[in-house]
Amino acid sequence: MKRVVGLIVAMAVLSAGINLYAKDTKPLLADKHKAAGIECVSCHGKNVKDIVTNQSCLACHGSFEKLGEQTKDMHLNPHKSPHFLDLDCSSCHDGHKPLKNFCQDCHGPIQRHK
Amino acid sequence: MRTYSKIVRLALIVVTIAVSGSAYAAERKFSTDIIVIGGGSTGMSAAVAAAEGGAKVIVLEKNAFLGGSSNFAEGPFAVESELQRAKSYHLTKDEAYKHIMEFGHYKTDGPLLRQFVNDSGENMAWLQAHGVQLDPIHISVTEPMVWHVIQNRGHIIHGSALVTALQLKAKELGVSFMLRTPAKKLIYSGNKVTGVEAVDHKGNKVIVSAKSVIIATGGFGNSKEKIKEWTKFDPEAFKPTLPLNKTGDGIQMAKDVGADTEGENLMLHLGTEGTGIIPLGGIWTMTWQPNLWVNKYGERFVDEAVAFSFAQAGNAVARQRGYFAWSIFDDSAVDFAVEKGVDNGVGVIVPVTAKLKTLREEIKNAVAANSESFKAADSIEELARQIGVPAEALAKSYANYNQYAENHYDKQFAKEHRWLKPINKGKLYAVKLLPYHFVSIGGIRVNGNMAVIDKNDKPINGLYAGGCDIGGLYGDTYTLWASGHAYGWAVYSGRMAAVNALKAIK
Repeated sequence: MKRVVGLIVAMAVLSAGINLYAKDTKPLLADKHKAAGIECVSCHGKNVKDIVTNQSCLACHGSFEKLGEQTKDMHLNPHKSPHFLDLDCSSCHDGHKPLKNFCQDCHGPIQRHK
Repeated sequence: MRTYSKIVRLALIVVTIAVSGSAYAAERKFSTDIIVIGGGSTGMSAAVAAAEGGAKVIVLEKNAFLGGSSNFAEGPFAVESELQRAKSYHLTKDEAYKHIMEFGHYKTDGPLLRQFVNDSGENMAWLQAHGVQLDPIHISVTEPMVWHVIQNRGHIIHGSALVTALQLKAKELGVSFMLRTPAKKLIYSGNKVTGVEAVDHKGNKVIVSAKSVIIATGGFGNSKEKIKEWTKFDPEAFKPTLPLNKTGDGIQMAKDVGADTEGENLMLHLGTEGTGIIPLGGIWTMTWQPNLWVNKYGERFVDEAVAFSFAQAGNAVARQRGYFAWSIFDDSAVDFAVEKGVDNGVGVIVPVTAKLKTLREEIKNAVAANSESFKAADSIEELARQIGVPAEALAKSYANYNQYAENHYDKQFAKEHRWLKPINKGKLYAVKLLPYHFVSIGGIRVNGNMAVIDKNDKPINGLYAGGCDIGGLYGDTYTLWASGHAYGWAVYSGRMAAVNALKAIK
């Protein structure tokens, strides 16, 4: 009986641990924008269920050329893709999900050196 | 009691509506002249041609980017183009057409292919007029100079340069693009296709009504279910080269409104994968070279110069038991690849005579990591043990091959002497050959106007299709002899679909 209880406790601790690790502690992009005083409608337009277009992002963040300069230290520069003229910004920078590197789907792990 | 249950029911309905209101996003409605489903080279060509003809166009694209496979392919087929004339190239439309028909064993749509071949030169002129720079070359030593390789555009490379040129043109012409908005269903009423239902990535339902719809979704190579259902291939063994989300949506939607289909198949090629192997790296590129190939019994099965025709190389390995083979070479083959460069390019991604500068390092790493797909040994018996084939059989194949190399004659498969090199210097290596597919081929039947036809050869009103969603172009194998056939066809069929859709709505 003690063993069973021990096992259950161990499992509980383990799963709690897994949960802790699984949780991304970084604030999501939308929250960061909100904290900086940028309203939902500033990106989404008047209907918050509308997708965020590249123009919305680039209006504040500058051109792909400028963004490419900021990430030129990366082994593969995601803002200066040899394949795509204008990949959807939100394919990596989704406002409501953790950052993902879209290029990794084909190229494998890509790290930021900085 | 009755009143009570009525109240409960009412409350339930209210709750359901409230929940659906938040869980399900809104519905968006649009109206246009022509909808293009899929923004690859077929869809982009269709969009540009339709917009130039004065139509309002909406392109629905499933991925977060335009171009699909066309970003990664490198050039369209043509014969009797101005570019070939400038190089005094001899091949004629008639010769090419006859060869293509022979290659497909007359199981293909003769009139459709004749039209494509005859118009292929003009198809290149259209691309050039739209800012695409091309240069005709031989894809390999065995194939004619019909492959019009797309020239890079600034930092944008290969097929992406074509996609970019057409994309900029389309934007200039006012074409609307909806990315990450896969079409789900054709709206079919009154015996006519009148629009498309799609879903954007926020979950909004997108309903677009139109006078015509052009399907250009690039086939079904990324759907294991469709490969299993529509072809003879085992989807676990025959894998797509890239994860491009092509799941047969266009073909399925057309079938759902009565379209006929034929010839669903895969454009095979060889490759490898496993611990320590970099996709398109040095070791990978050795899978495209005409070394000594043996099957699981340690026996040769083909003239390995089939490597120069990638689709047929795929066939040769695909028919071996277990769907694999091993390519065997020695240190002099490694030195040759590093110092002189490879005999066979992987398209122009790894061009012919490219020097595999990283090959030695990759070999060291793969061996250190005990790669399941790459082995090194000091003797042929040891290599046989490592790759798990009968030692006696492999030793015999190996001795015979070296004998043929010495005699300059392969009495087994008549391999050309220039590819028949002795394998006896330094270490012996083996890389596993596995079949993959660049795209699926075959699908919807169309007439010469690219109008989708039913089982009675009657066009389905308002519905056109092009590119790798089309059936009737290939027999049992992709016609690599007509190098760039699929790319050239994509552009051509997209344009023709648009031109004919325009005619029908005017």
